[in-house]
Amino acid sequence: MIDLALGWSVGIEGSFAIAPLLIALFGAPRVVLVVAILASATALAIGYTQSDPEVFALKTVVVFFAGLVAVALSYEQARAAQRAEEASLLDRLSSIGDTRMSLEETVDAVMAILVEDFAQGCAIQVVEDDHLRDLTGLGRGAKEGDVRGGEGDTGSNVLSLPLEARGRFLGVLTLRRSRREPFTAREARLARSISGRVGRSLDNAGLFDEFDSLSRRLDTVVSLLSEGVYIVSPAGRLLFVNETGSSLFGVDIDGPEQRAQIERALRNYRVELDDGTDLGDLSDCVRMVLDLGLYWSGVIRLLERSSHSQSWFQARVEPIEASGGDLLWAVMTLEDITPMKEREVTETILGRLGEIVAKEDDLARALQRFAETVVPNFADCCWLYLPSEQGFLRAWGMAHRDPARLDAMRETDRRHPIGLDQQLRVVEAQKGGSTAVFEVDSETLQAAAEDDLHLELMRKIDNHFGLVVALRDRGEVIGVLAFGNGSDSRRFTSHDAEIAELIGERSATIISNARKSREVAEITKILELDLRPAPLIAIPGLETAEIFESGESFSQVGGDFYEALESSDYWNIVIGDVVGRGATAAALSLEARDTLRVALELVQDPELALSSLDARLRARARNEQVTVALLRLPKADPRRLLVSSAGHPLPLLGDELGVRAIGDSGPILGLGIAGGWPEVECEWRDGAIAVLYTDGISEFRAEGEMFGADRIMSAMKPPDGAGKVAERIRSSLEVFSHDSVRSDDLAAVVICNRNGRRRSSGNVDG
Amino acid sequence: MKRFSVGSEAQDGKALIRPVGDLDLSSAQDLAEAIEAALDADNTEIEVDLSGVSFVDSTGLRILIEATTKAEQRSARLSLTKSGDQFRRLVELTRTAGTLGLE
Repeated sequence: MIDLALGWSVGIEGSFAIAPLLIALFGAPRVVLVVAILASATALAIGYTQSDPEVFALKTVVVFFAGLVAVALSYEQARAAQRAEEASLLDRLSSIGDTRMSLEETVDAVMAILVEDFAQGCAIQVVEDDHLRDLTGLGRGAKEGDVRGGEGDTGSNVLSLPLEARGRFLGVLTLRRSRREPFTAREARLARSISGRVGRSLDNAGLFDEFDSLSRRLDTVVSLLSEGVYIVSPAGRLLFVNETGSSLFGVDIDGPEQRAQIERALRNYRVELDDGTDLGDLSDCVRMVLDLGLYWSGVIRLLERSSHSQSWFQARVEPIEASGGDLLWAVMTLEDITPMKEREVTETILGRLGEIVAKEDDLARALQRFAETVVPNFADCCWLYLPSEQGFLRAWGMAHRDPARLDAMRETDRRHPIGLDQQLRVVEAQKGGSTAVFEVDSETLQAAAEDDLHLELMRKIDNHFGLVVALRDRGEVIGVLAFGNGSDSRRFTSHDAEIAELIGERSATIISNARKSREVAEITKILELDLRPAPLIAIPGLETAEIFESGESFSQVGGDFYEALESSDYWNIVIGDVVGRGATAAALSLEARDTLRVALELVQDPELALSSLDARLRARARNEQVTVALLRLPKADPRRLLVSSAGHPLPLLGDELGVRAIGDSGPILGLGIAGGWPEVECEWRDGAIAVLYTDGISEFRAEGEMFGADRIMSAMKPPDGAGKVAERIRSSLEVFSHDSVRSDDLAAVVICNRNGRRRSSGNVDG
Repeated sequence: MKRFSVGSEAQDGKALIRPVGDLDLSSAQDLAEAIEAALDADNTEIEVDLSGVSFVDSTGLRILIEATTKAEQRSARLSLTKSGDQFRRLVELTRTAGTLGLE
């Protein structure tokens, strides 16, 4: 159309106007400007020589106008591209702030963007403890000395901009370009936007970094704890576990599978409280505590079901609640206290057993207490057997943590006693021959059962893991100690066997002590029977009766004695009491009786006999005393009675004149007290009754009252014979005593003068 | 039977011992130990107040005789005071008043 209007040269000359426009589509504004200027100059040169002035002017205006339009288009296009780049730059910087990068990663990313797209160099300094810390080393592209220039300088090759976020000054961003490409004012404005985004990114990175650091520190601290730490959700899911907590359950892998494995492991543990209370699965326990929402702390025993091993833990569960009171999670800590607790259990058991050995003198009670002491902390059940004379073992002590199973134990012991040989074979099959640790499977159980009921009982007892100790005293097997654990409990270890042997030693001690006590009791009984006064010899013209009962203190022999002795001119009746009890008193009693017998039979002088005994007693190393009362009946004069007393209750005489004490008390023997033992003569009437007694009778007390001599005197009325008087004294004592314990011997000799009857009938009673 | 107990106090070389209950086989040793302790503490005058003792048997008597002898050996004086009728009868029967310093 131009060619048609302006002639043949229009096409060529038109290109001067079109060329800048075309180049403006692709070229930079500067190129478009140059092309427009060149096109305008060429059009002017050609048109000046070849065209008329009017045409020339028109062509020139068209070319110039086209050049201007092309330049304008080019600049507009360049600005649009720059705005897009700026927006992209800012977006990319913003995106850094939205990610969970560490501070180091953030600095690196920011510097990479800025150095590549905005500046040739970049430095970041952050405020730390009131001074600026250069993070340049953290990022790439920064160079030393980059931090220069004033804040927000324009037209400069260096820009220093504040880094701020949430109103807080974080540091300084420094951007650098070569002097040939200084920052423009627009770029300076853009740099402020950049610094804002960089500030937010660093703030976020700082926060995340702080959080990560805190978490890492917490992890580090928690991992250093010797306790296992578990964080559990309200639903019972394990959210966190530290390294110790993981290793406690034999799990050493890290990651999600670790928690799953621990969750599975928790279900494999049975929990018991310190007192043996069964709490079921560990996972159930945790859930139970969660449901209660309460802080709980205590010692627990974990029994691992597959290995049948046990561990002791100090456990704590603390619920963490939200502000509204809802349970967020619970923190459970487990501290392995197995060695300490096992030591404590052992020491406690051995300590209690020691007390039983020291204090309990009843064997049956002691052995039962032994069995009860070791259950449940050492074993689920325990038997303490002693061999019977038939060669069977009978349980003297039995205990089971479950009362229902204890009944089964009793029934089994009653119905199916175990042979001693049977148990010893088990023990002696083991190394050392004193302790056996074994496991009882169902086949063994069936083989051992004597009948179906026996099998049922044994199954009920559930003695799956066994430990047997032979109790020996000087090589002789004196008993068997057996422990059992159920199939869901723990297996006995070699350490348990060592403890069992210590328990066995104490058991053997108490059994041995009891055997010795029994032997001592038997010896005492024999001694007492030997020391027991023999029946009085028959004395012509006398009816005699005796009362003798030893005190309840069975093992304490000694005490009272009486005897009838014949010398050439007298019948002597002696009654005495040794002060004190036991073997020493028994020996003293024998010596006193022997001394008096010799003196009275040979010398026939009561004072000499008593003084001899006094001297003998003082010659002994111990401070010992004896009291004696002595009646002498002259053979030549049956109507006379001679009485002596050495600190002893005076004999009582009953006749038609009444009942009265006779004689004069001399000093107790053994102290060498001067004054002698004068013999007093009394009339010994026909039918008269004389009673010699020890203070065991007169001082016998019941319900705060003393029997006293008055009751003896009452029993002597009427004086109707020695046997009847003795019977009345005995009855009176019985009525008086009720059920009171007699600690002393009771001894009395009753004699009745029957010489008149003898004379009239020629018979002798006695 | 009354439960036996022994109270004691001492000041300026003088000790006062108060047994309460029956002085017999089961309790005599407690009194013996109390008197022994008073002697070990170098008391030169020991009074045994028997007002709380309702009964003394031969073992109790022996302990008192032993204590009196020990006190003499250590140049101390043991006196038995406020004794009851039963004890006096026992002393009379055994003629131990002189030994016990009760004459």
